[in-house]
Amino acid sequence: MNVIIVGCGRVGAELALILGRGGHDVTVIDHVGSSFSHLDPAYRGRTIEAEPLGEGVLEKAGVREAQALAAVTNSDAVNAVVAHVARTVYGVPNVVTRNYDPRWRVLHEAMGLTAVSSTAWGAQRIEELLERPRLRPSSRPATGRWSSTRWWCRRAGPGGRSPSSSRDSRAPPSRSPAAAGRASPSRTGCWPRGRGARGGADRGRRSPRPPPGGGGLSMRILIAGGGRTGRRSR
Amino acid sequence: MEHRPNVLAHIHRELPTELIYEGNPTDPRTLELARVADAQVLVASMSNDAENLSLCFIARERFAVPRTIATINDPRFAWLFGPASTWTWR
Repeated sequence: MNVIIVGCGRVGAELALILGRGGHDVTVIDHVGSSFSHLDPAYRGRTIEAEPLGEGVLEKAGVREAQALAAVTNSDAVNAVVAHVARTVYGVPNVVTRNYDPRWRVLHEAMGLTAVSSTAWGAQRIEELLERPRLRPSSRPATGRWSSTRWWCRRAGPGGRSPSSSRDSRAPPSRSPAAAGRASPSRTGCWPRGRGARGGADRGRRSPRPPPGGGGLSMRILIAGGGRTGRRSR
Repeated sequence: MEHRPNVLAHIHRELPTELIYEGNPTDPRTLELARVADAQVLVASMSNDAENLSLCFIARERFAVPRTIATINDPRFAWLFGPASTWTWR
């Protein structure tokens, strides 16, 4: 398929490499030319140095023929607007955005976009591994390609509602072995317990502690790096 | 709503304190603090056009502000605000 990737940071460059290896026709857009240095030398797709929201830039990247678009810059506003335009103006069927700052998840939700938050998701995974060592995945973590982990899941509400829309907690938490190992909460209708992975409306409300799974003792945890991931892990 | 210290110092000299909300306007917490839901009009005059557009969208969608106005700093972005785009307000 033809895929457009907006933003050539680490996420965009990695995504471009993976999709290219998968045999897809990839075009990467970034407004800073030096960003393309993130791309692996093995990347064979196109690069366009331009402001992604500039008039005609998406068309130059082939948005009319694209089957998919990923907006993965480090600006939630740019990601959301690019995704919205790609979907509503150009009718791209498959659009995914990156939610960079968890506080801005509300924007992606308001536009009805499928958003992936590497910040909140990453911080939450780290917190889980620190608090509940039994959840440690059995795969080789160095590759980052896949992992097999047991998750605490909540069933989606009636009618297969997505997690972001089912903010009521009618369905009691239940262990679902079927969801173990799947990566995407939006696809499975399940999402891991704890802060971060849920929608912005839940922000600030602590979810109930999970059942004891190995991390009952209080720990002294040092987090090296006070960036977004580090602050979120707190 | 403003969060840059140098700009805040400037507007504190020109405006009464009760009219100023300190915080980043792109942070939903600042919007709640400033009671955006009670506003009849929201003007997005930040330097980032995508943020202006997003802020107007959030104000309409999440806070039901009936009228939103945004500035366009970069003419290359003007098409986003025009008839070419389909910003459907519910």
